[in-house]
Amino acid sequence: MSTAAPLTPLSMALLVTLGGGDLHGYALLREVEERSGGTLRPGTGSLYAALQRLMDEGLIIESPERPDDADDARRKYYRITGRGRTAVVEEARRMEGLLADARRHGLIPAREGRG
Amino acid sequence: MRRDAVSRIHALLRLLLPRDFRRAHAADMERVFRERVEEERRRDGVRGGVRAWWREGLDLADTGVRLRASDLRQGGGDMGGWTDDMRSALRSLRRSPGFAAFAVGTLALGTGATIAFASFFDRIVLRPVDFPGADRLVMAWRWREDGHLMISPDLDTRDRVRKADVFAGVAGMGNHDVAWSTDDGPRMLSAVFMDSELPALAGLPPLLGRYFDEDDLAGSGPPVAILAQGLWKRAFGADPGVLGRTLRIEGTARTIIGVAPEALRPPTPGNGDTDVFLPLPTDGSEANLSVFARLRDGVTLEHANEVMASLDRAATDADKSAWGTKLVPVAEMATSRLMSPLKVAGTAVVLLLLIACINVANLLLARGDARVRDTAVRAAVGAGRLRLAREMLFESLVIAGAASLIGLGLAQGAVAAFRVLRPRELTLLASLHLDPLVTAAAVACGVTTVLLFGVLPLVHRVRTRPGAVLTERGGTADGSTLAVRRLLMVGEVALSFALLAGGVQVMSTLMRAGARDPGLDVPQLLAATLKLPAWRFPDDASREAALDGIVARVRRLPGVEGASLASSVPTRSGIYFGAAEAEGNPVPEDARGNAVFFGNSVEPGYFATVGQAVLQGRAFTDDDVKADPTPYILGESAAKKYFPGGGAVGGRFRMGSDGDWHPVVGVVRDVWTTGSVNEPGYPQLYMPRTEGEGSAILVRTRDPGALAGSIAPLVRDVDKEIPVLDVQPVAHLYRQALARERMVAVLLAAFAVTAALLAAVGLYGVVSQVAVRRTREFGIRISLGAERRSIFTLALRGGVRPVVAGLMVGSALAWAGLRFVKMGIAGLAEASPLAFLGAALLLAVTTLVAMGVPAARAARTDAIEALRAE
Repeated sequence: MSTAAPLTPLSMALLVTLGGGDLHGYALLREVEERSGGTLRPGTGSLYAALQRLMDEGLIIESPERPDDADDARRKYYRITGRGRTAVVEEARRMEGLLADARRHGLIPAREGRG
Repeated sequence: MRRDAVSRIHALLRLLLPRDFRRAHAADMERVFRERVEEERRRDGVRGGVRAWWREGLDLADTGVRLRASDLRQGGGDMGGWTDDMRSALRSLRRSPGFAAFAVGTLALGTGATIAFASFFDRIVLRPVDFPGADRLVMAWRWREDGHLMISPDLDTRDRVRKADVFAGVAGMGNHDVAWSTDDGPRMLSAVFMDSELPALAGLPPLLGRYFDEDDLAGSGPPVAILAQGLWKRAFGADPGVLGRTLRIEGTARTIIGVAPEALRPPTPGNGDTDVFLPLPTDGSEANLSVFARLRDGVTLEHANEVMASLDRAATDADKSAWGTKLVPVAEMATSRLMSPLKVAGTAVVLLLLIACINVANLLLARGDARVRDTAVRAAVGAGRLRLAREMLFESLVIAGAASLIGLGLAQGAVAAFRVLRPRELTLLASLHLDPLVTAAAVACGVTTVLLFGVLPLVHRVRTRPGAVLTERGGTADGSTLAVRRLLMVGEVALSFALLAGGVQVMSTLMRAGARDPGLDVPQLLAATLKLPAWRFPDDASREAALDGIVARVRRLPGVEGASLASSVPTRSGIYFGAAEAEGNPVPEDARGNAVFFGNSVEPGYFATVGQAVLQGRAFTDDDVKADPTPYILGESAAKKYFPGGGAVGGRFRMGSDGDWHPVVGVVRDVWTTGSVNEPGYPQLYMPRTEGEGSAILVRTRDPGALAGSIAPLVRDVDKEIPVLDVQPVAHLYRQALARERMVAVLLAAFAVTAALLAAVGLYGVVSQVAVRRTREFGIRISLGAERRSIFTLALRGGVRPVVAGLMVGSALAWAGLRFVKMGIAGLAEASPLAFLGAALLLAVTTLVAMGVPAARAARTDAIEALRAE
């Protein structure tokens, strides 16, 4: 079982987004916003605090390569690590467990529509 | 990174975040935010941009708090930031206890004085009257344009004010003491005579029973009374069955028809608690009448006065001698006597705070100087300028915080002490307390001032170029700071001197007033005030018999050298009012129209009893009373004013509208009646006491205080229904009359002394710091053979120049200031050079001592130690 604390929605969203490839600050921000349908709209403070925490826990690192050369060389790119991917999976499983529980207790209809 | 406005503002906001975090991500954050703002602006114009900034600001604040909070939990961590600074500030303050104590103590004094004063101000100026809706309440007075005279209103005034359509309620009210006959003898009650309107103005329903109705006021029903809550509790045990019982007041049995709540009290403060309410007589017999009215919403005082003016015109058209009416806000009436002392005290407080702040600024600068090398080293190894400034800022904050707390305690103590020690007269200050809002404001003011003075030197300090300092050895003083500090010292000495000189001046004026010739032998006089109840002594003959009996008994008391009757006590003389003229002499310029005289009706032995010198002519004799017209005796200034060429004795004088000339048979020394130091002495007039007249007995005896207790039993012997209103040595009466001026003088003296002490402390600090830094230099000099004495002078010299300069500037300030203060203390003479000299001497001595101590310490420098130290 996972020993780490559950990830915050923002951290989870960041990890999931990075799962699709390295990204830098602003792009991350936009992706997270779009994926969450506007519910997650972090300011730069929250964003970088979350990134710092993820780095501290070893779930992401600063990417050494620059995918897009035309971009400003000073931008920092972030990349998800193996541990990060594991953490995503574990978190996803945890949420599945919650969902199942909720369905069992009749809080959510047993069959949801797609989406 | 671009250095434009966006960049700068975002950088400021980023300060909310811990340092290390900032360093790691600042660049990225700014970039991301910039893109965000541009996008929002593209999408939504200005609104979008503003929204982006707003969200970002909140986000950064929130993140900053969260990160720091988690740092605290982890015990500091890498992102310590503020907590680190706070801790190191406390540590460095602990290492310099002297500095911390001085700084906090100085500031606490200044802040405490400010808070205490703010409370005074609030009580006296902002909320002087404790009555519902007091800010819309006015008092109506009778008014005469010529002569600018304002006297108490009568019932006609009240009715005229009622006719004006601009008031939401007009009440007439009388106020004096009445005698309540109890089994233990007559007990004086403070009675308010009211019509039906006063409770309506206050909007307070009765606790029990009812208020007066038409019949009660018209006197057509049985006599009634309403108890005040206080008396009901004290004398009737809050008995709910008190209605229907009777009280015997002034000989009349009155039925209690109600109990009024404690909050129902006259809108003008200063008469103590009310005991009982009685119906206002409709026959105008209540002499001490007040008329209160509440302005309707939206009506201004000016408009109301205009309306009254037109009603007045109608009245004077019908009757030439009718009076006009003037409306004055109640708040003004309550405070006018205290406003000017307040201005004086306010100035003093501001000065004190300034001095305190200068002191602290100096101390902080000195401290910065002392750590010059330390600062430079840290700057050299990369501690950000901001970081250093923040540390020193925290020191200032800690000092300011501690000082505020202590100052608050001091202020609380001062207010409590004042409540207890205040002159009895100033009842307005009886309910003084520290108002929370006012306190918060005052503390904020104090802290802001301090931070300002604390930060400025820091900014200067932080700009030091580390390189320059590090290459010097032995810490010679930084030229520019020392200049600033010298300037500050000049300012501080100047202000202290101004305060001190002012204080000395005021005290000396007061002493002179105290030494003023009162015209009587004050120390040997006792004054007893009685009131013969009319219901018991309905005619002159019975009153005369009673008074005779009392005075005869008083004269037989051991130690009594004489006793005489008069209509009033000297400091509370009656006022005679009317057109005054001396036969064959022109009416003096300033007495055209109606003149005001202070006077007394006295019996023949009176002047001898009180020791008032008869300068010309004679005193009254027993026959004078029966003479027609009755003779007058004038006071000396009245005689000089109305008979400028002399010839008062033998001349004739008339006063008032009766038109009869009265012969003047004597001129006596003026008596100091008004009590206040320089209010113009009104001219004085005496008449022979008529049969049955008199409510004051003046007793001449060696020890008035010892005799005071014997008077009441004597009076009781004659008739147990005669209340004795007051028995006091006349000396006390005069002291009370000077109460206001005394209060100001005491306050000023306290401020001045504190200021002098602060200046001394500041100078001690300056000289001490400079001496410490020149330790090495002194060490060298000593080892080269310099005399200890020359070291002493050397160390001292640094402080003497600012002191001298300060004294000079201070004299100019004090001279200008005293002109301002004149408004507060009537009678303040022109700035007396003696007072200035005295103050200068005092300050000089204090400061010399303060500077001498560190200088002496410098002279004792151990040469070896000094050379070794760095």
